[in-house]
This record gives sequence, structure tokens and C-alpha cells, in this order.
Amino acid sequence: MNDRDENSCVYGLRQQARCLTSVYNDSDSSEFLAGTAAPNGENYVHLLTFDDSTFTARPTLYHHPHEIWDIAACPFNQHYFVTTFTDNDGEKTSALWKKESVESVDQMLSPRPDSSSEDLTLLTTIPSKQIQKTMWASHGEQNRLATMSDSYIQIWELDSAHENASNRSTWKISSEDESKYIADMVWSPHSDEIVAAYGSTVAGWDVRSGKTTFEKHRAHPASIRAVDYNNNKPHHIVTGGDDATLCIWDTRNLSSPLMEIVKHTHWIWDVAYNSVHDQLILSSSSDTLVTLNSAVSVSSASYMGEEYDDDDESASSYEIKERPTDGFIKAYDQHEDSVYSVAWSHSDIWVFASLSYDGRVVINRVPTSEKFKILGI
Amino acid sequence: MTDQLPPRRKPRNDLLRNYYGIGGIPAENAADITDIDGSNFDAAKYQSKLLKGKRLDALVNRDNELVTEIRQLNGDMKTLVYENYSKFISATDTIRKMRSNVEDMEKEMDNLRDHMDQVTTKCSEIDSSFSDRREKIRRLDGVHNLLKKLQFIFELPNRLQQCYASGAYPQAVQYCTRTNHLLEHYQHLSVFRNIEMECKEIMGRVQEKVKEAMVQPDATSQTIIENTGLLIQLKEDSTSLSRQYIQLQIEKLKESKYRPSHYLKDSESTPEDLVEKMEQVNMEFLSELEIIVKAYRSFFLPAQPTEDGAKIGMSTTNVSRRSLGSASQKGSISNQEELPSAELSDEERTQAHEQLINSFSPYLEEYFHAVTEMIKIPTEPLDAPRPLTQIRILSCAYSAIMEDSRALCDILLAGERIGRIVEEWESGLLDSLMKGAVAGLQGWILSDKIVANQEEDASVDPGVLTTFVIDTEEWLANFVGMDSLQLLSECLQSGASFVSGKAKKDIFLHQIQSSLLVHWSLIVQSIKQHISNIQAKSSVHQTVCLVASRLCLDFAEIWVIKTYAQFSKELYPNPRRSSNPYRQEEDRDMIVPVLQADVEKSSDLYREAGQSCLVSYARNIGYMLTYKVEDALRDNSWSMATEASKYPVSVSSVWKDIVAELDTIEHIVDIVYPLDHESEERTGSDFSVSRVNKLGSRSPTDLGLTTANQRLGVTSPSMTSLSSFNNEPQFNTSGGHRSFGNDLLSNISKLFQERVEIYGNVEPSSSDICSGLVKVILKAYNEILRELTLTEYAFWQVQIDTEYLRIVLWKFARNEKRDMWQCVSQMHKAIFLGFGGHLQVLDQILRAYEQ
Repeated sequence: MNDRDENSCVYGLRQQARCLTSVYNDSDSSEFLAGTAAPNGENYVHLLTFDDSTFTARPTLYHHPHEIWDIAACPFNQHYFVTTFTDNDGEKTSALWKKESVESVDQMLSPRPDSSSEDLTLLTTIPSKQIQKTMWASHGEQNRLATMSDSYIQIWELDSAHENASNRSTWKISSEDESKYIADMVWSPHSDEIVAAYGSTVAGWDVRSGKTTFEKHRAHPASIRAVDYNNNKPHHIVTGGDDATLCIWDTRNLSSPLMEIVKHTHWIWDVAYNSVHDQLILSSSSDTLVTLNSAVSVSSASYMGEEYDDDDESASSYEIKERPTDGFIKAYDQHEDSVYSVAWSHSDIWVFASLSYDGRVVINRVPTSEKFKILGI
Repeated sequence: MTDQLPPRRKPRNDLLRNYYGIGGIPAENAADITDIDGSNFDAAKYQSKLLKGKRLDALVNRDNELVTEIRQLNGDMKTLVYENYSKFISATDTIRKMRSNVEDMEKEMDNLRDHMDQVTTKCSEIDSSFSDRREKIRRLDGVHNLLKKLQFIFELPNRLQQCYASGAYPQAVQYCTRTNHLLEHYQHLSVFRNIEMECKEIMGRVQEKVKEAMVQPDATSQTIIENTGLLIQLKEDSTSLSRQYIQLQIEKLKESKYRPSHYLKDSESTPEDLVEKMEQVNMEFLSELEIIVKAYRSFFLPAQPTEDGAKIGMSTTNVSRRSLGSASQKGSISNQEELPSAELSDEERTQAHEQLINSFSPYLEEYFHAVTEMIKIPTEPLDAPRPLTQIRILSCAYSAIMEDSRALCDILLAGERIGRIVEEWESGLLDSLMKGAVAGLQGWILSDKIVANQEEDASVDPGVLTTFVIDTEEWLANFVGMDSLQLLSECLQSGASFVSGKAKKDIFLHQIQSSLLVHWSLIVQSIKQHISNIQAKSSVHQTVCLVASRLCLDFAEIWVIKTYAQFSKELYPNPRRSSNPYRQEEDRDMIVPVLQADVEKSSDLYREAGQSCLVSYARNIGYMLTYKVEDALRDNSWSMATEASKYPVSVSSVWKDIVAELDTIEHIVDIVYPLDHESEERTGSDFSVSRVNKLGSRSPTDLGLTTANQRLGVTSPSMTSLSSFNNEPQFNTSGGHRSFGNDLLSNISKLFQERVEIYGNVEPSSSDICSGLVKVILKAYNEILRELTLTEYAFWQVQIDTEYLRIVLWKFARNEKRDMWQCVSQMHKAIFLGFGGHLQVLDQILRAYEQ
């Protein structure tokens, strides 16, 4: 088992890339989508199917006409995804695409088809410009999308055929400093709330009313670049920014962060909570590292730990086992350029992928020892 | 091999070896028969070997050597033999003398025994002849005594009557107690019964009189004590007596005009008056209380009669000696050898004890309260007149309690109480001193002198910074080192009773030591708190951060040590070692070993605080500059420029601003952390604050590389290969004029591209801080450019800007040339290869670029 800890699957996109997402698929194998961002020439969306047994990734390429800045997989249909890209006029916009599933024996045998690429079906384009990022609603009606541009957030609703996107609401962030732009946002999995970061501020909005739910100025001493929402624990978010620090917040009590993790030496570009074991937090940084941290004490597992104790006493046959503790688990240094994106797999909770600017995708697993600690084995 | 030794020598040698305990040497080196000192030496073989192997002159030399060696050995042996022989002779002499002495002794002993026997017989004879008469004398003596007693008894009623008439009640009581048992014994004889009756009648009257005298309003407490003693001897009921005693005495105490609560409180008076008053209170009130309590104890609580008596006798003489002048009647108590005591059951005793404590502790409490009031620490202990009145008062009270108030100490635990008061006072004094230091420092920093002076114009007045650092340090050092220390050492050496004696001194010193430690950390805390408050403010405020770091580091390196050295000198009088006259005695050497650990601890504390201040300074400046870069770059007006009017004519203004700001920062840091000598002439050295001690400087490459990897817990394979690059001369040449891809090295370095640490540790020097900032700026530039889509005009602008930066920023990169080179070159590469900017019309641009 231990050999597998050391293993990691590396895949090159051959072009620069900034965005990576995990596909909500039905099968057991993890799938990731990565979009390339070559300024001129051909761009592709790479579908990487990760084979856990051989620790390899099988790619499927889909031709994408523009350089891709952001990509988001649809949570209810594994064939849909949204990309944000620069269109022919040089404007950034978003579109919903459908990919055909390709199952061919040939490709199984030769993992790197050189030139063959599939085509994507354009379903609809979101009629807005200057979009920086698009994401799916992770709570409530699923046919909703949120887009963010430099200073405002918009909510869109897709019709049943997914052919039209109509604007539900738009709100501008109200910042004293107009020059601050929105760097990242996340849709709360617990309520219709969007949490976004701009400048050094992190704030939440109610999607329906557009009203601010909370606001924390100077959450970091420098700009915030990434934010994520805890899937298991309402009101818990994590932010990462230019000060190379991860902060975990309870949005009900923002006077100080619940926990600060300093493991990077440059800006943090992406953070991700594990959707099941939310003590596991990934962060990626332009210091070329991906770090995996454990924050048990402020995760939903901190409650479960106590229940465990009771069980232990009644059974009293357990050995004293190592409990998961707070702190640094591992740094992954397989990248050589800034790592802009990191994503947990939706099929295998222990698998995650990271993507650096030079187009390198690295798929890793949580170290077995840590996994056992969490599972209490 | 050993077989080959001559037959005579071997057994002899073996014997000798056995004798000297070295027989066990194994013949391991049997092979080496040529070793002349070895046990297996074979002379014949050695000789033949020499003859064969050496030239004549060598042989002659060897011969000479051997002869000398043999002569030496011979001499050694002779000396040994002689020494042993002389020892043997002297041993023989001693033995002979011993034998003759013993023979004499036996004869003498016999003589002695005979004499003793004679003496014994004579003694027994004399004893038997005198025994008859001795018996007779004894009998006569008994009769005489009895007659005397009888006579006394017969005369007793008359005597008592006389005493009663003349008022000599004590005498009467004494007679009575002396004869009581006799009268009881002879009760059956009518004569005695009559006498007894008569006596009782008289004594009853006496008792009445005594009681009366006791409750007289003008009776002094002394009379009360005496009368109580008499009543006890007269078997008055002890429970009620004790109650009455307490009641009477308390009334006396209440009336006393020296009651501390009134006497000490009444007016604003000079320190001299206060001390005098304190002494008076001690003499009048405290000693009164002491005597009362002591008397009570001996009346009603005689614990161990013998020991107690001795104690009382001793302490009363003490009291009397002290109070001879003022209250002579108190001296009379010492005339009685021992105070009488009532016989009480255990239960009654506990009751009496409780009564005592309950009734008198309020008064003692009152005394202590008054003392505490009087020794309240002034708000500005340093400004108070020296020596502190408080010390004298406390000393006065302390000695009064500890030396003259045994009973109070024993029963009411006054000693512990005063000890606690002393302790509280000491820690209070220290607290107020240390708090003064902290508050003062906060005042210094919070006064925002620097900020106030800089708010208007961006350029910093170097003089202000300089004087600020110097003034603050001097002030604090003076406050802690000189003023407070002096006060403390005065306290110690004032000879005050509560710090005299080694144990008490040690306690105080220990207190000083621990409070000093607390004080250091308080200062650090206040600095840290201040720093965290200013994080969000302008760059001018950040300067405060920088200055704070300088302060902390200076403290770590110099002032902590100096202060402790001062303390050692002043407070620990005997120098640990004689100072070496040939060596300048350093501060560090003067610190006594007790304080060494503290010095280390507080130095570390300051060093750490200083470093964190410095890092936070560098970080915050970095964030600010990053904001600036980002704002400028994200401004669409230039990146999307399409008209020819936007043709770049000069460097973007933001870069000029940033470079100017870097210049300012460099200047400020240079002032706060002046450089070594070689670069001093470049900076305005007039204003530089020279640091007495330089930090042990580590080589920058070590710092840059290893910390990066240690912090991340990662070791990359490139470490070794990179360290070899360090020595590559190309990295030290000025400018990044290396063409890409022309040599193998650049390919290799690309392969093993080291992570450039952007947010690293910083050293306190302008070069280190600035090169760190440059790294931050360049990295930010690179990162943000990657997110942008540029037009060709914008691209040209970027080209110009990078070229400008390459030239201008180079001067800041004194330290980490290699890192810088990587950073800049990486950027160049990125931009020229279209790696960074997303070029909308790349083809055109490339074409234009080629032209």
C-alpha cells in the first residue's frame, strides 16, 4: 500500500492551462476536466479518466475553439460543463457545452491518441461579457448558474432544454475601494448563499435577495485569491490569499479565523475542502506546491470524534489507535510552475488532481496512513 | 620463543614479575623479537640482525645509544634499591623501639594496679567510720526544717494580716500559696484548722481587694496582668477570669492614644514624622499588645512550662531593654521569674485559645492595616525621596514584629503576616517599576513621533528616525538599568530589617529576577500588539514596525545583556571571579550564573520579536506594492489599448513610483539598520544609528536556499546541483545578460529550476529587505501578466517596463544575485516567449519584434 502513496500520475496537456474541475460521474473511476489556455492556436478540453489500479490517466480530447480561463462540471449531468473563455472579439464569456462519451477499445490501448479529438456541442452561451468565472448552483434548483465579473455577480437560469440562459439577478459588490475585483466565489452547499472574495474582503450574499449575509474586511493582510465552502459544516469557509496563508472562518463569528495554516511561500491560488472528510484541505500556490492539510479540530469530524469515544468505551476492545490530528500532512512538489487549480475527485474521495500553468496535471491520493487515521482503522 | 631465553634468567624474571603483579602479561607479540623492551626480546638475533643490516657508523651509533641506555637503567635500579633499603632500615628501627616500650609499660601497669587497691581500702574504712554521725545530722536537719515551717505557719495569720494592711497583696498571695499544701496536710489537727480558717478569711479579703484594684479605671494594663496573676494563684475560676482579663485589656487598648488607626492616620506629615510615629506605635501599641498576649498565654495556655518560661524570661528582658525609657513599669514584669498559670482542661484551653485569637487579632489587624496603608507604593517610585520612607517604615514594623513580638508571632501568626506584607510590598514595588517601563515604552512608540513627522511629506526625515531609536533605547535602558536598579539596590542595601540576612535577600533577589523576566515579556507583548494594530495602515506606519524590530533586536543583542550585567554588578555584590587584568571585561562576563538562563531567555524573546517585526514589515510593504502593481496592471485602459496614440513612449508611471518607493524604503532601512563599513559612505552615514553589536551574519545563499526547503520540509534533487552553480562566476556578473539556450548550463538549470522563495525570512539590512521586495514585485508582475490579454501596444509597454525594471531593480539585488537572476530571467523568458501575456495578436507582434 505504501508504494502507492509515493506514486502519482502525471499527465501533460502540452499547452498552458489554468483550470481544472472534477466530473460528477456515475462510474467508480475519477474523471477530471482540464481546459487549456493557449493564446493562439488550438485549445482542448482534456477529459482525464483516472484508473486507480494502474495509477494512470486515460485522456479524451475535445476541441475547444478558444482559450479557456475557467471550467465547471455540471453536478447533475456528467456530460455537461461550462467554460469561461475569450471569444473572437477578445471578450471573456461563458458557454455550456455537451461532450459525447467516447468509449473505444483503441483508446484504452493507446493512452495518448496524437491527433484525434472529439467535438463539443455548444448548448448555449451566457449573454454577458467580462465573465471571470462560472459555477453551478450547489444548493436548491440545479439549473442555475452564477457568473462573476470584476465587480458584479450574476445568477442565470437555464431552461429545461439547456438552450437558453436567462438572467435572474445581478448585483454589484459594494466596496469602498472600487479598484478591488472579485477574485473567487463559491456557492454554499447548505443554502442559497454565494461567498465571494474581493481585495482582502470576504463576503456572502443571499442569492435571492442579493443582500449581504456577512462581510469581513481585511480577512487577510493582502488580497484573497481563493475561497471554498465546507460541504459538511454550514458557515465554515476557507480562504487563501497573497499572504500565503490559509484561513478557516466561521462566518457567524468573524473576529478572528478559527485556524490559520501557513505552509506556502507565495500566493495561494486555489483551495478545496474534501467533500466527505472536510478536515482535508488542499491548497495550491504559485510557489509550485500543492499542500494537503488536516484541520480536524474545526471540521465536522470533531463532533464525530467524541461519539467514537463513547463507542470505544462500551466496546473497550479497541487498541489505542492514532487519531487524526491538526496540521500539515504532505506537500506535493511535482509541479514546476505556479499551480492554479486543484480539485478533489467526486468518485473517489481520496483522489485529487492539481494543474500547473505549464499544463501538467498531477493526480495524487491522500497518504494511506492519514486515510487510516481518518477512518479509524 | 621464550624458551630461547638463557635458562637462569627466565625463572628469575618470572619471580620478579609475579612479585610485582605484572606476571600476567601475555606473550602476544611473540613475533617481535627485535623489540628491545618487549618480553620476547632475543639479544642474539637482534645483534645478528643489526650486524647484517646496518653500516658501521650506524652500528657505532647504536652501540653508543645502548651504552647510554644501559647506564641510565643501571642508575635507576641503584636508586630503587637504595630507597627500598633505607625504608627497610627505618622499619627495623621502629619495631625495635616499640618492643622496648611495651616491656616498660607492663611493669608500670602492675605498679598502678597495686596503688589503686590501697586507695580503695582506705576509702571504705573512712566511709564506715563516719556513717553514724551523718545519719544523726540528717535527722536533726529534718527536725529543724519542720520547726521552721511550723513557726511560719503559726505566724502566718499575723503576717497575712500585716500584708493586707500594708497592701502587699502579692506577698500575701505568695505566702498563702506556699503554705497551702501544708495546711491541707495537717487539717486534722485543730491548731492548724484554726490557722487555716483565719488565713482563708484574710485571703478572701485580699481577693476582694485585688479584684477591685483590677477593675479600677485607672489601672494600667500592667496592674491588670499582675492582679490577674494573683487571682490565678488564688484559684479564681479561670474561665471567667480569662474573659474578664480580655475584656479589661481590650478596653485599655481601645483607649490607647497610640492606636494605629487613629494615630498614624491623622495628618499629612513628613517622612521623618511618619517614621517616628511608626516607632512610637511599635513601642506603645504593639509592645503593649505583645505583653498582654504573652501574659494571657502564660496564664491560660502554658503549653510546655519549662520551655515557655525560658522563652518568656528571655523575651521580656528584651522588651524591658527596649522600653526602658518610656515605660518603666513594664520592666517590672521581668522581675517576676515566672508568671503563674491556671490549670485548665483541654477543652477549656481550646476555648481560651479561641477567645484570645478572636479578641486580639482585630487589633493586630488594625496595626497591619495601618502599616500597609503607610507603605503604599507611590505612583512614581523613582521620583520619591530616597531612601524611600516606605522602606524605613516597613523595616521598623518588620523588626518590631519579628524580634520583639514572639507571642504575637506564635499565637496570632504575626510573623507570617508581616512576611506576607513585605513580600507584597516588594512585588508591588517591582510591579510599579516594571509597569512604568512598559507604559513609558508604549508612550514612546504610540506617540507616533515618526508618523506625525512624516504624514505631510513622503520623504522621511532621517534625523527623526535616528534620534527616535537612540532616545528610546537610552530612555528604556536608563529607566530599567539605572533608575529602577538603583532604587532596588538601595532597597537591598538600606539595611532594612526585612532584607537583612541572606535568606531574605535571596527571596527579594529572586523576586526581582522573576519580575524582570516578566517585564521583558510585557514589553515585547506591548510592542507586538502595537505592530498588529498598524498592519492596515500606510507605509509610514510600517516604518514604526521597522523601528520596533530594530529596538527588539538591539535589546536582544545589547540591552538585555547590559541590564543584566548592571543588575549583577549592583545586586550581587561578590564578584564571581577575579577579573582578568589583561582582558577587557565584557558585559556578558559580569552576569552572575543565576541570571544566565534569564539572559538567554529574554534575548531569545527579543530576537524572535524583532525578527517577526522585521518580517511583518517586509511583508506588509510587499503587500502594498503588490496592490499597486495589480491595480495598475488590471486597469484595462492600457492592456486593451488599440489606438496608435497609446504607443508606448516611456515606462509606465507605476513602475517609476514603485522604484521611487523602493528607494525610500532602502533609505529608511539603511538608517534604521546601518550597513557595514564598506557601504557606509554610500548611505547618509551621518544619520545612521550604529549598532554596537552586529548580528552574526549568515551567508545569504545559505539563507535563501536552505530555509526555503527546510520550511517546506521538502528536499529537492536540485539542491546539490544548485549549490555547485553558486560558484559559477556568471551569476555574479552584473546584469542578466545571458542569452537563453546558448549553453548547456541554462538547460540544466531549467531542468533543476529551484523554487525561488518569495516570502522568506529577512535579515536586518536594506539589501536583504529590498531584494526580497524586488522578488515579491517581480513575481507578482509575472503572475498578474499571465492573467491578462494584451494588445500589441500593451505588449510593447510590457517590454519597455521589463527592460526598465531589469536595469533599475538590479541595484537592489546586491545580495541574492542568483535568485534575482532567476527571477528576472524567468520573467523575460516568459514575456518574450509569449508565455506570460496572452497576446491577442501574437503573429503581428512577433513580426514587429523581428523587424
